Amino acid sequence: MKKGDKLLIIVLAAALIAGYGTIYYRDHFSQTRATGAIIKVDGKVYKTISSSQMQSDATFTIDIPTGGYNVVDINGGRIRVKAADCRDKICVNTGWISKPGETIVCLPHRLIIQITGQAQDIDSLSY
Amino acid sequence: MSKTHKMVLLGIMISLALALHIFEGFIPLSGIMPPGAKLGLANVVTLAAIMAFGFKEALAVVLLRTLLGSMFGGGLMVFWYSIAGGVLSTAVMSMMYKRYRASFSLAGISIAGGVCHNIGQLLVFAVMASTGGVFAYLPALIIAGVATGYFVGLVASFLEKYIKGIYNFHL
Repeated sequence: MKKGDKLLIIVLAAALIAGYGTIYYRDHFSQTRATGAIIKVDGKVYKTISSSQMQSDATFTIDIPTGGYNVVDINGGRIRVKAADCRDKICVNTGWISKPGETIVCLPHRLIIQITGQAQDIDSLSY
Repeated sequence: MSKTHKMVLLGIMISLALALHIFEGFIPLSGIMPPGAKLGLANVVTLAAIMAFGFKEALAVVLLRTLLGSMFGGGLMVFWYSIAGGVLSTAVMSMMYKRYRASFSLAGISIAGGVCHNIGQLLVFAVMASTGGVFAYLPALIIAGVATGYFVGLVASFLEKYIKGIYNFHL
């Protein structure tokens, strides 16, 4: 262990604390709530899923125009890519997402699934 | 070292890196590692090329390995984000090895390279998906990069004394 190594550890530890802190803030304190999900293929909106649709179970297959497929699974407010024939399977390995801002990306298929969110204001609490 | 000697060594390095690159693709890591994380075994060869030659040669090894690797399996998209990660990590590791060799161990250099590889990949992800949301995976990828980078650096430090020997090798 040399002097520079210690510096590297400090820098990485600081980055980790900052990163996990931001994620913790997003998940626990941020006043946004999930309003559904949006699926984009090649930059174009393929499907928008409302928050009520997010609550019901559904499984559907997206056929990618350039070839290939992704099977999307919705269950109890969560969404995931269940199966895909892309090469790296990063989309499948990402698993379930449910919180605003969380993203699944399948770059080989240019597919993006993102949870949409809306800032929660006082009015929406008082109904 | 003669030109031919160097060319042969670089050829061996590229084929070794390619073999490791393809081999690690067969190891199932889903569930253990965060999405997008890899072992980075081929980084051993990148480090060896940096130690034996320098930035230019190491970059050539990385570029050719990535190009051939995505031909054997991966495709164009995988090529782009591998190349971004590869170039960034090679540049950072070469600079650390050349300028700050005295203050960093090989494990430290390799860890920094691993983390830079992930940052480069995420940059391409963010640009192509036009969302910064993918950076939420960075903390998990840093942890994975530190773990794999440490062992890659360890392997490279075992190689170090043999690499110094290639300059004394005569046929």
